[in-house]
Amino acid sequence: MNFHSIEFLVFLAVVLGLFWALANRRTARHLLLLGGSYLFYGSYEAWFLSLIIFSTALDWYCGTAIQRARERDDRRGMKIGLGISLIGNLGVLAFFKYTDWLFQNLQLAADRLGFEVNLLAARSSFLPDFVLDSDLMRIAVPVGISFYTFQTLSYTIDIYRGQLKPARNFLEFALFVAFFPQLVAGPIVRAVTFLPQFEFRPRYSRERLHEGLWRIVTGLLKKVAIADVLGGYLVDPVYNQPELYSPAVHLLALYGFAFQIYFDFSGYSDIAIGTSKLLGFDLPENFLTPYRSRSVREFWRRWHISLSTWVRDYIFFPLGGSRGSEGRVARNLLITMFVIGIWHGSSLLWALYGLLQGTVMILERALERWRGGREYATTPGRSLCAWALTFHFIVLSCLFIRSRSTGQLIDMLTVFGEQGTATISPYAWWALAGGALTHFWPPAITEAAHRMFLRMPTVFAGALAGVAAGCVAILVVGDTPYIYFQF
Amino acid sequence: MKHRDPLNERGAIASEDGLDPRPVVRGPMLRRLVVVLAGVLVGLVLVDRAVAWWDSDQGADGGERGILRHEQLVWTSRPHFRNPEFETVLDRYGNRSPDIPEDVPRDEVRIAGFGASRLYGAGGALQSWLWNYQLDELLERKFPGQVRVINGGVMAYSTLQACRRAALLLDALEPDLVFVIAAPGAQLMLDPSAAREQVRYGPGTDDLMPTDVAGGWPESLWPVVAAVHRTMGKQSAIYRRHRAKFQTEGADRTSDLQRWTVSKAPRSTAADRMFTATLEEIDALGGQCKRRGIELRVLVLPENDMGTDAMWETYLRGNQRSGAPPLGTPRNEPGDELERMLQERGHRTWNFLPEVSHMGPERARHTMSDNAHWSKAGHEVFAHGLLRRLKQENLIEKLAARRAEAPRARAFGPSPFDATSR
Repeated sequence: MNFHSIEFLVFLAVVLGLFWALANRRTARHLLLLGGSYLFYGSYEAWFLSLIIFSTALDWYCGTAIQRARERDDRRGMKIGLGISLIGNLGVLAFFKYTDWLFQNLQLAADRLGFEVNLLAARSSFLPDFVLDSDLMRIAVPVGISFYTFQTLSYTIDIYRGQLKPARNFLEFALFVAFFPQLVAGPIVRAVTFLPQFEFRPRYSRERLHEGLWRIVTGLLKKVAIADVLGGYLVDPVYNQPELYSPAVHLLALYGFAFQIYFDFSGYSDIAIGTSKLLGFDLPENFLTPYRSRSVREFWRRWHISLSTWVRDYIFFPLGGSRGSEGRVARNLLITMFVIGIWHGSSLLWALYGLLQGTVMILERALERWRGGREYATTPGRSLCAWALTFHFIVLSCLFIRSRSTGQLIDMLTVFGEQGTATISPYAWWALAGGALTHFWPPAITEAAHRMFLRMPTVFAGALAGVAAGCVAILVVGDTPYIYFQF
Repeated sequence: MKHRDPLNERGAIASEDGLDPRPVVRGPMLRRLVVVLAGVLVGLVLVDRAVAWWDSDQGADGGERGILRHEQLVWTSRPHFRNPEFETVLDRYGNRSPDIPEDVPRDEVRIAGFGASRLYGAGGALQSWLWNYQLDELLERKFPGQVRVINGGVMAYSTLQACRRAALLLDALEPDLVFVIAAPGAQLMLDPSAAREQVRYGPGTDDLMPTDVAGGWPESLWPVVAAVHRTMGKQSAIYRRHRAKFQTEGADRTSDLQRWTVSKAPRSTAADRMFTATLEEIDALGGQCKRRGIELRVLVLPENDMGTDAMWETYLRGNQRSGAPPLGTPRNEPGDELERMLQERGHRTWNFLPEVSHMGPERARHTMSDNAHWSKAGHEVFAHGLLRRLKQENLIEKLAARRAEAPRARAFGPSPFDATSR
């Protein structure tokens, strides 16, 4: 059930109506949301539910065990509880995301050494059929598993650190794990900020209602009018057949994918935040116009914020953060960014992507140190230069995200054809121009439109949402899941 | 504690000093949600009407009007459809040929070809340029007034649909020779049948709806689902656009199969299922023709990309992730392999690789500006190819002799598209 589908529109209308009808009944409204969330998640594949229920039960048990051990002042018990949570969650995640990669490499090694074994067939033979993608015979990665695994891990780690008390009851914890607006592609929510929201009755305001609608409308348009158009008319054709297109078209496809992935993912986050607002919950922001950044470090403070703050708090800081020698900080940065890379996927390209980001961050720190701790971008000219360098580095590194193999990445950089920019669809030009314009124009313009939407009568706001939904219905081309669903 | 104006409260989370004991006043909130919903519906209707206006303005000679829904074929060309822009005048069965007159000689030889858009003459080709007119003209020299050539191509058809349509028209046309196009690519050989199958929800001839619409609903609700589907189809321009996209793009021919082509390489489960269904439909048509004493030829028509080695190489390199055969597959392998499989099943084949190879080096001359469908020159090459094979087998003479012994009882039969189509 994609956000940009009629099924979701109907589902949301029913859930909203029932939720507010049950607003004064805490258990009933939470049960409703949990049931709705499981229905939403089960609509992808019913068996995915078994994984999320397993993860929920495991962390509920571990969180409670850690807290009990803390009350007994039992450090060993706390560590055992945390260890079980880490092994259980990361084990499931690793199985689904990295088993195929491991077996493929083992097979490669076996072939090179001359062993006649079919490890991939052996792997398939001991797995139930529903776990395998039927045509491709790969292990199917459950939608959103990386997101809710990190979410539940934050729960047990925070209890271990003494920063959080366990959830009041299993129902609310299960809802924290499975809350449908952000379940499959974030933002990754921390228990420490989300669980307290259960303590209060939902309060509604006109401004909040309009804010929710605004986020949903803009999110839908970002996804369907910009991201999907760029994907269908520019990025996919060029990446699929790089040998047909000239270098200029390749360059446009690189820019195109940078905007496609931003509008796709931030569109999803907007809809998640807007939907949550309509249900009386607040989710953290996930994007702050990241392509306006003037350094790669700043970019990661503006891009997928919920993931970058998660790895900062649970990996970078425990490793020592920015304390210690430069070598140690560099090591911490590389490890952290490597984790971000392989969180996305189990390929060499993802690992390289993470390491590349970390390396540039280290170079930025070195430059800053060389300048006596002063930032580089202190004048408008330098600011522009820093922005241009950062933006183009990010665009270029998107090659690692979009390419399905190293061969495809190399083809994009080296294999060209004769079809020039005249062959690009006008839709792609419009989407590219619209994407760049709305991202780089002065924020005051967006703010003015936002304020106007907040002030207009509710029926007009609803009608505008309807017009946007109608436009989405016309523009939507087939089944185009969000890019981040695969992670 | 009673709340004066809960709608002016800001934020979902109440004061930070503890649990919020105030009850939520639900009425105003629910009313506002209803207002939002009403607004959304108004907005949707506005867009829908705008799309309807746009489509009616654009669609004077649009493709949809030339298309008729049908329970077994899902769509077929609309009988008597006219589009002066391309000289299109379809006959009473929706074929792109002149109507058969009532006073036609009962012993004329009829050749009917069935296939997709290349055969139909898409891409803006004028009707008088088409292969059937050119073949008619070529045959007229030797067999004046004795042979009629019928173009049964329909836009965006698969071979499975073409076979079904041919079978439906056998009794009405009483052809002597039928040929059906089998191109080794995914469009013709892998019919995304889930999008084209119909389910019956009632006893009437009209009580059919697409399988994908019924999918997931309990059978007892099918009449309601069908009523909604039909009403939406009539009333909503957005819905009509969605259905049109779905029908033409297919449902289960996934992206990794979009460029699948017959070869010696193993087929995936999905490709094999669809490919086998196509072969079985050809078998069924073969059986029907045999029972009626009609000659059937399966015309193996390689894709345009098999026109030259360079084009084929580019195709293979560019479509490895979309199901194309492995790099290094010879250009003739798809057609030869398909031909071998068809012959193994007892079908007689005509392989048109020489004609496609003839067009390949001068693709621009032989195709329309869409670079896919034949131009007048392309149709001419195709017509000459047919003539050559007819001569090689001495078919016209044989068929004429056979028909002279058993002339038709009537000039033509009733159209199968009158009773069941809508």
